[in-house]
Amino acid sequence: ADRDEPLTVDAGQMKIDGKRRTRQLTGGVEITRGSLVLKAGEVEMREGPRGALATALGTAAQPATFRQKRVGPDEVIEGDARRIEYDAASETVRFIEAARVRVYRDGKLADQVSGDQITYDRQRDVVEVLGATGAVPGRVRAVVTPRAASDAASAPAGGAR
Amino acid sequence: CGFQLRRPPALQLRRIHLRGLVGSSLLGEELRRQLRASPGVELLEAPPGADVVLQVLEDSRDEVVAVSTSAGLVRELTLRSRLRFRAQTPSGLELIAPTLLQQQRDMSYTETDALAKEHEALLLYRAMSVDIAAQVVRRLAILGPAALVAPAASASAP
Amino acid sequence: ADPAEPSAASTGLRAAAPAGLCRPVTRGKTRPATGSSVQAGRNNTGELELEADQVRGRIGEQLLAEGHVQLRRGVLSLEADQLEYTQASDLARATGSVHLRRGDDVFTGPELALDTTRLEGHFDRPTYRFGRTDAGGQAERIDFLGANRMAVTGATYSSCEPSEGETLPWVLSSRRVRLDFDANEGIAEDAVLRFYGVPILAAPVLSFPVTDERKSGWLPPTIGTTSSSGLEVSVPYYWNIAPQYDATITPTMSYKRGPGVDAEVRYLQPGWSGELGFYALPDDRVADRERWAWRAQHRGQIGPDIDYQIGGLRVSDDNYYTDDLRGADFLTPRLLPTRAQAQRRSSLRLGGAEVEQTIYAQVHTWQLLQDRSDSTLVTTPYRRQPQVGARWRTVDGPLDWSLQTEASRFTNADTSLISGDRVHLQGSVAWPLGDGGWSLTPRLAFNAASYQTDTAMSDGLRSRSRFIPTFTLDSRWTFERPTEAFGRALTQTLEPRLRYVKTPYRDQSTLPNFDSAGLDFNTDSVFADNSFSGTDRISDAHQITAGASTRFLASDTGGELARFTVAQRFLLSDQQITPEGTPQTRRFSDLLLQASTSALRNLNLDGIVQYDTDQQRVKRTIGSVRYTPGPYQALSASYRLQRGSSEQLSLGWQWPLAGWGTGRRTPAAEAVQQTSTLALDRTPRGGNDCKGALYGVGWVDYSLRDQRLTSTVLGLEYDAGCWIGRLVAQRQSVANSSSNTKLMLQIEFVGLSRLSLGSNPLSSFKDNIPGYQMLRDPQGRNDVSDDITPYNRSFKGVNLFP
Repeated sequence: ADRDEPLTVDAGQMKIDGKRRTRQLTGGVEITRGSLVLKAGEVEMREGPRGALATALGTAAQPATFRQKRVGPDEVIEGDARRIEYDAASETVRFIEAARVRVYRDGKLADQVSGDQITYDRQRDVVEVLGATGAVPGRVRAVVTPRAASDAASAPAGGAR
Repeated sequence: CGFQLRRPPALQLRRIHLRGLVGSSLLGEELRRQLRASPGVELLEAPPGADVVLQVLEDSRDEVVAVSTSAGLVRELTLRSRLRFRAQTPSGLELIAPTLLQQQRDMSYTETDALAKEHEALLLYRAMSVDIAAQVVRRLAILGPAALVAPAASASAP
Repeated sequence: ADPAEPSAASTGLRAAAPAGLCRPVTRGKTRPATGSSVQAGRNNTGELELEADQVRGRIGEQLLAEGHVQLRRGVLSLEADQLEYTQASDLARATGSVHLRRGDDVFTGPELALDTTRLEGHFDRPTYRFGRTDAGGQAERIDFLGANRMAVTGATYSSCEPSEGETLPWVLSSRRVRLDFDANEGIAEDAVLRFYGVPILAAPVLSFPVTDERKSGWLPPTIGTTSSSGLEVSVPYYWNIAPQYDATITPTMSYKRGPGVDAEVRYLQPGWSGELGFYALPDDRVADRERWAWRAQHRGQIGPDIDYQIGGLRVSDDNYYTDDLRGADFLTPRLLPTRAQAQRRSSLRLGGAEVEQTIYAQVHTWQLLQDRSDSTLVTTPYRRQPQVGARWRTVDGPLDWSLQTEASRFTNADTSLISGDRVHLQGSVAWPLGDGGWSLTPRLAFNAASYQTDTAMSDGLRSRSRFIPTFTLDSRWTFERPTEAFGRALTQTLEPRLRYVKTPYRDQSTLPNFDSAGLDFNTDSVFADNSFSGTDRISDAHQITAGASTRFLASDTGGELARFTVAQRFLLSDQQITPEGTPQTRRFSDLLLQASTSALRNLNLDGIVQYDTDQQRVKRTIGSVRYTPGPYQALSASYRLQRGSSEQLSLGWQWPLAGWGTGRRTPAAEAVQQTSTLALDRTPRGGNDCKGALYGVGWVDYSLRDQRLTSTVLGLEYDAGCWIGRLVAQRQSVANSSSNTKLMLQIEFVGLSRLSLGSNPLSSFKDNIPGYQMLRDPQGRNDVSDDITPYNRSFKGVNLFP
């Protein structure tokens, strides 16, 4: 699974700040790890106690984007936001400000969610969407394609509460 | 005292498509006759190419007892004729908003002369049709090319 | 888009009524109560949209939304505080002030569980409101059983707004209601209708339609009392045989006269349509014989240009009208026609001119109800048995010519009157000169007829013919000038007219007179060639008629605001054949004056005066005024004098007496207000703007000659917002000495149906009160509207003047 894959980084320039033990990547950055792809104009990488922590910064015109295959069913999760925070250890992605997440099932767009802040916990396979955080009043909007009655049975039972 | 002979109401909008007339109605015949009699007017069968689409919304006539004797014999009838119409350009711009023109005539009646009164009623209905049709032509004559742009005023006349 | 010509099959059997100005109950064209896009039985498809303050859950499995949650899918739209959506089972569980909207209906309640695909689920303790009837209520539980079916337990239904503490003016409560919008059926079990707490209708099972389509079932009973028949109860059953056929069978029970039944079938097909009705009173205990009446009206087309009508009215005996029995309503209640006629219209080109041709044929007989108590018997009109004819008329071209030929056989029920055949030919050619400003039209016409009578005419002959030519010269001018009046820029016209008529004298005194009678003397007939209508009498003429009318036209719209006309005829030589029978030697005819105006806002004035210049007195006058300042306000008065024949004063009114409509505007305040004549914008905003308004409605005809009221109707209409009460008393004179009084009470539960006592007063209001406006538009209610009940005064049957 992606956890075991190496984290590779490709950026225009890199500046290392020894004191704060961070790496400043600019000039169009692409971070990959197995099926995970994180792209943004500028990324700040920090080494956390249990693994890398990346904060990708995009612009209104060019938001940071994220893409990864889901565990289990043949589905791909795609998302973009002004800022994306990725915790390699816990495999948690947080999309902040103008966040949008799309789920593709068998290559077709099945579900999409938009809101002010979206958190995707890959290990618990849970997505959490917050409409309004702080000053910005906002709503969450989700468009879901109901499972055709036939394949409903195949979906994994149970679900996070 | 200021009266001059009226110039013929040369309709500026000459190509007219008449729509909404069901079957043969006195009013329909009279309206067609008066439109054809106006110089230069051409009645088209379909809206495209027409300057004005004259749509008849309601063309009805009815009779109501006005006076009856205490023995239930009818002594006077009121004949009523109603026309509701609107005028638009083929593209739907309103030239004349839906307008109601109605006329009524009173006619004495005796049951014995039922056949004769039927002929007389026809004369009165025809006279009302001539009158209403003339009013429609007058309202169309007011419309100039400028009306094709300006919004229409709505009026409901007697 | 071009509004499609109403094809006969699709128009259905119901005519739309105009919307009243109170908050109309529903628009005529709202969609039926169900989400119309879900076909019967198929699922609700399409994407599911969810909007909320927060959403949590596993993508693809389950979503938990919180904070002003909105869910939309296909026809379904749902709002709630929390909503849990399980994608696998497609089940949405909503809690916290849940609003469910399906088409025009809204359900609200604390908790709902619903399968958004199959639209199955249940709603606990909901309140609901149907958009189409603007009525609703509470229920213990609603079970949605698929797209178009639901079961409601412990339901109440009313269109009245609930206010705390007060009981609902009316409420229909039932243990269980099953609604099936596909089968257009609502079944209420143990239904009780309460009016201010008093149960007035209880039914173990009550079925009602839930969509616009017609549905078989019992219509509300009508109970009425008339002095001639006593208490009468009738309970109509409406039978929706097929989309194109329906029938209404009404057993009736009259206290004085015994049981009877009325049946009416209506049919509508692409090529033909009509109604057939029959009323039977097998054993009338008062008249001690059987009484019946049949009525029929059939219209049809054969091919594109032939249309025909067959219709008639027949009753069992002459006293049918004076006993005021059912099923024989007609314009002339004592002269009932039976007629079959057909016309074929076509146009052809003849010598370069387009000519309209009409070929027609008809058979026409009458039943005259003689009033035995009256000394003078009324002579019956002639029957046309048959009449065949043809007419040609040019449509364009320099010369206007027309030709008509006809062959008729006239017989009469009164055998003392001569019967016979008549063949006649009449034609005319006119040469109109001039343009729109002036016109001069010489015209030559002739009227030839030959008679073949069964018995000898007064001169002993049995056949004779005559040929009568006529020459007329008609000239008209139109002068115009701009002027200003009533605060508007106007164009005043002056339209003088001169018409010369020359018809030689031809003796017709010995010829039979089947279909001629003297024309009323009015501003139209004064310019006619012949003083008689019909063909059998042609008056000789050597006269000039002079007339002038002036109109005031609005310069901006061309609309006519006022018109005044004066006309008089001048005889150049005596007229031998006259309607009065004696030669006319007076050189100047009566002076005719006619005026009508709608220039004053909300006021219509009309007047006609026929002034006898010799005897210096008015021979005939009609004056009428109609004041309609606002919605539901109409006052009209008319005075009619026909010297020597009738003099009548009529008043008609519909006026708010209490509540919303009254006292808000005095006529003086009215004059100041400059808003549009039809006071739409003056209806107060908000809430039910007609609540609690009481209206006085009625009309009175007073015969000044007989010094008695020939017809009186006094009515009250109370609009309580969710129900309308009508109480009407009607007194109609049916014979010289006796008259018949009728009492009608009707309660209309807005959103449910009408329970009427006695016949439906609504249609008689519309016929007799000029400017009467129905309080609410009854169209579109889901009840079986009563306008298909058989007893409907405005049934025109065979109209007198087709």
